[in-house]
Amino acid sequence: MTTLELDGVTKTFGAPDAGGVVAVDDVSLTVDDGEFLVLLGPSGCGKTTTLRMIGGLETPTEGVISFDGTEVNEVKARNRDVAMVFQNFALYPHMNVSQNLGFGLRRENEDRSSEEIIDRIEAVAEMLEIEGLLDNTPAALSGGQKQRVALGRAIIREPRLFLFDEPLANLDASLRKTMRTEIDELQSEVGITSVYVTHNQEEAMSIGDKIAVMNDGRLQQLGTPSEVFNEPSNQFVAQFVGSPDMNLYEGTLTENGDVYRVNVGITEFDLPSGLVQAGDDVLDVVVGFRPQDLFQSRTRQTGGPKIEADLRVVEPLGTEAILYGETEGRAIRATDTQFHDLDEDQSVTLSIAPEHIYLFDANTEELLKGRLMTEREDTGVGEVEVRDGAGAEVRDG
Amino acid sequence: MSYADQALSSYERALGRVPDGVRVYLPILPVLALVGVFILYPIAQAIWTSFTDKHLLRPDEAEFVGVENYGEVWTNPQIHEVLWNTFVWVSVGSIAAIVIGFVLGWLLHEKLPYTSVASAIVLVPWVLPRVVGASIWKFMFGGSQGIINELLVQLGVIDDYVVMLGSTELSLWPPIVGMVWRLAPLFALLTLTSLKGIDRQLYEAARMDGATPWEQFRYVTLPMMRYNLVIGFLLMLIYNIRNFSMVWVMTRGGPGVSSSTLPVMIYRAAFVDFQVGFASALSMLLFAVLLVFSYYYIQVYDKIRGEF
Repeated sequence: MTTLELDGVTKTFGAPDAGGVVAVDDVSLTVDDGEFLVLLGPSGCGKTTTLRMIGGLETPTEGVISFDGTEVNEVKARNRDVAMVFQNFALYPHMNVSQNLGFGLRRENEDRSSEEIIDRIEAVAEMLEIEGLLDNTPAALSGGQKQRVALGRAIIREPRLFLFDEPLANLDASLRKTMRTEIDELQSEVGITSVYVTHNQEEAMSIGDKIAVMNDGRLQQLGTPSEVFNEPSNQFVAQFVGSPDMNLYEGTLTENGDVYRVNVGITEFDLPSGLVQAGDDVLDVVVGFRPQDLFQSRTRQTGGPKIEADLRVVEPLGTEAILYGETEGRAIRATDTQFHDLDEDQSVTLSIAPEHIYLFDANTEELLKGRLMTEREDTGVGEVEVRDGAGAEVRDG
Repeated sequence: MSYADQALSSYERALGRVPDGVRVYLPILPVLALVGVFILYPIAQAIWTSFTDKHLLRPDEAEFVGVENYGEVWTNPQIHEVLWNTFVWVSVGSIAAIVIGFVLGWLLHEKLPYTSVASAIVLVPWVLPRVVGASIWKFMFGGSQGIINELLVQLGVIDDYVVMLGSTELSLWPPIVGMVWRLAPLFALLTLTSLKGIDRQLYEAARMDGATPWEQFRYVTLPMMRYNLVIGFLLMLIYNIRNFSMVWVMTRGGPGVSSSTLPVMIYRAAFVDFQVGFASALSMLLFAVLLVFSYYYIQVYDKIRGEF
């Protein structure tokens, strides 16, 4: 039961003035007791380094890491009472499953009786359904079984914090989804504060209570999955979260009475000024359309701007398809369930509800307008709104 | 290209007529012949010779004498000292080489920069021709101008130069030092590679599991290296017990037999005293010991292959 706090944490590898690398740059965040935080970002964004600093495997160059308000910067990894699940499982190959599970208990507390340890091992094995494997060595286990043992090794100690370093990256796709749910359930069950690192935005959206999106060592946004999806703090977050990628077009924003006129070349539309937090009269902007928010006009009226596009590729995914099109020389992606009668090279009219349009300042890349979740009676009604942040992310990235 | 071109040649057809049970042995015939001529035949010859009174001055007049040579092995006045020397040589030499080699390998892995350069330097004693290495040590242990005597005097260990190679009490030790110098690098390299083979993440897992550095060494490093260490230990035993050049170059086994090990005694019996029969009987003794070591070596080796 621990509240984790990072305050201005920076990690530099090598001397900063002599070509050193700043892996983590001034990251501050708080993970409340029992909360599940996901650190999300592309490779090399510093998420793993952040996790390792929390675990004590790396020391921060600057800043303070604290558990329940107590600074732990100088506390060694072995004394932090933190458990970590590694990407490649890191099971001890010379020990059987039971010994692997019990290793932390035997070390941590010398006077714990071996009956007690055995009881705990059996309880955890039962919880993870690996009772039958206790005498096997890791070499004899499948990937999913190894993953369970690695989880068990973390759970058995009932630590203050769970750290997960891309624990599902080495599993195949279907197993990844099962284990994802299991980790989620397990964490809610034991209620231990957790930090989970992944580069997979779909995994992040489905598992996290909160998501911290990182890029180039900096924290881009900290929020719930739906905040990150609907109100990305900047263009990077908007593009990184969500699949297929958001459509982004450069354009201009002009104040015109009580509306803003947005011109993006491929289309033009008005936005009520209340929706936009823009200071200047004319602004270079970047407009974003989520592929999930673009509908064919023939199937649904959105009341928003229409875009004529020539279909290039229709990629069926079962119940829906990704439509790859081209409009005035610009690529556009949309997803739709009404695709069976579509031919490639056909032209379609796509439209998007104004409240679903994202607007970014072209200079700062900061968000001007996010995606509103309020229901609009005159659009495609309820079904559109079911596609909120987490729901839209069930598609495979 | 027609199917006719693919037809079996007359040679292949002839091969086809050989019964299956015989045919499978045909491919290993060349190797079998080489092993037979160069390994099995000499061994058989040596076993036979050990039952004769063959003498190099009259090699054609060898007569079968039964187990007389083996009897002489037990009654020989020198054999006990030689066996004791061999025991000291093998145990002290191996243990010292292992301890020093392990520490060296660990330092190469953990502490020293430029591992590849450092391991190349460490390997010099092992790649240097044996006689050259032995000659250097003989020179360094020299009684009148040897640097080791000078060093010991400077350090205050001894008051004056000691003729170590010519002393019946001390003559075994300089060759042991030379042998450790030669074998430790091999063990260091073995240690280095087995340490490098351990996944670093296991140590991180152990740290997260609350293990102290000693516990990491005891419960991760050592068990992960156990087979490599056993293999290395057996290799050290085998190399040590077979060694001839280090002793021969430095002391010729003397004075008396004070620095003789079994291989040196065999050489002396055969090529100094010309008693080839007796030398062969001694060889059988060495052969038996080596067989035991080799048996365990192969056992461990198979176990490793079964595990990975």
